[in-house]
Amino acid sequence: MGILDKLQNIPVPIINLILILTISVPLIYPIGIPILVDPMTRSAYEVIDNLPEGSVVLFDYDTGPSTVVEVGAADKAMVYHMFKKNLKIIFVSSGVNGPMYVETDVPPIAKRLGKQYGVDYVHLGYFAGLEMGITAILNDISSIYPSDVHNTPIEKLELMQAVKNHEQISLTIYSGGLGDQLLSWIRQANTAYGITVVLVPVGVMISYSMPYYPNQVAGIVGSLRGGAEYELLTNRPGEAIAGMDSLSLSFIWIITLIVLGNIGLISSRMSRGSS
Amino acid sequence: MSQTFRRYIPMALSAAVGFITIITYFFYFPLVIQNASSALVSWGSILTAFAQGLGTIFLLRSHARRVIRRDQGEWIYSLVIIISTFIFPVLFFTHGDTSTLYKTLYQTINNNIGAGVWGILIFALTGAVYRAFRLQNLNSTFLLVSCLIVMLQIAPVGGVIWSGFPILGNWIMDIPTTGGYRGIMVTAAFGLIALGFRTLFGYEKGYLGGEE
Repeated sequence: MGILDKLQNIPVPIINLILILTISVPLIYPIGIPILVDPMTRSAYEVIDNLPEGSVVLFDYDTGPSTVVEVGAADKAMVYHMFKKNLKIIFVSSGVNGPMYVETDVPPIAKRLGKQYGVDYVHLGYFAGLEMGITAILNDISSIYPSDVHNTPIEKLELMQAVKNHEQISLTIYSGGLGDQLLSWIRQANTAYGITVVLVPVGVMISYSMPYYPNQVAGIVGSLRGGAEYELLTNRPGEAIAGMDSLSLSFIWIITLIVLGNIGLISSRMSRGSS
Repeated sequence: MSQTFRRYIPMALSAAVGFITIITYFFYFPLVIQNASSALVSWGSILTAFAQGLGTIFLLRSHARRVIRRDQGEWIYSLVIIISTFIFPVLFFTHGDTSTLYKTLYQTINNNIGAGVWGILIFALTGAVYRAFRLQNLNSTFLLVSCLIVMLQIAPVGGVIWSGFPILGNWIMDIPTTGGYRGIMVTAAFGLIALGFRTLFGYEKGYLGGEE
């Protein structure tokens, strides 16, 4: 097998081994490649930053095992930012995995910033019905959630005494994105009631969300890269910034593979043509 | 079962529910109709939850049959599904979903398996990209070049290599991609409106099941 054929047929174990190294080594020895903040992420940050104190945010935490690596860091950075700005957050989940991630991610941040459950934030849990569920929540929260995840009736939660429906909600955030909920929030919250919407989609859903930016979606914090940018904006470096060097090096390896494969292909075509 | 029960009553119900929820969105009606519309929307969520429960029963029934029949190479996996389906509800009712046991089991099993399965995808994708992204013709060349530019826009190292990569990548995402998606979405929305009207007026019968 000639060198041109070898370039087109690099063994899978070698591809995978180098991929593992490009992902893991930068996590142990960070390089610190500078990160530019995308206008969509900055816009999301500014929307939250400009909300008056005490504004109510409805956060659909649809994070799950398949999406947490991409959007988990952005979720935590945004929750931190909102608590810092003294916003009130209502957590709901259109996906069944979401409530577990709210329970894992939010209480430590709330505790660190001195936020009180029931007063500064509430966790209402999973709702079924996707778009119909979203519509029902915006019409009347108690129609879907008579109680929170701890089985406390919502009328006993101080925050929920003041929040009944869409009229009291200033911003909705959707995080996750392997389903259609992303568009459902735009249709039901923004189009129907004019509520500002910010999205935290996984990578494959960024281009799906972009047609709605900036008119119907005020900001998009896309995937791990968006999370890193948000961490940078909140001046709170975390797992997303740490992952950016890995992302850069692994992408460089994938691009190298594509280039090598094509060099092999073009060269073998040229050699066949000349012979 | 007569046509009345199988076709006409479900169609009439669908049309009535559809009309009430649509007209109360566009026009102001007495409070009783507005409340009826809100209640119908809430029922949608409840019905979905009920359908999920029903789906779980069908899933368990199907896998229980495989276990009983000892289907070669399949029954053991079906048994795992049955046991897994019961673990979390049992723990939910005995310990609650905020208990340490529930959280630990969830995080050590569901989280790790889920993240692991999705993590493995990167290896499959890298291999696939290496083999598929070849300059075969003009279309594949456009696809390949766009892909490389967008990858270098997403990865911070792209801006370090050349400051033009983020600009070019943003242009690809903002103009051709967004424009194309907008066209597809608007067209799909028109199709959805047409489907909605067909359903409301009883021309669309696929959702009732059986023959058209």
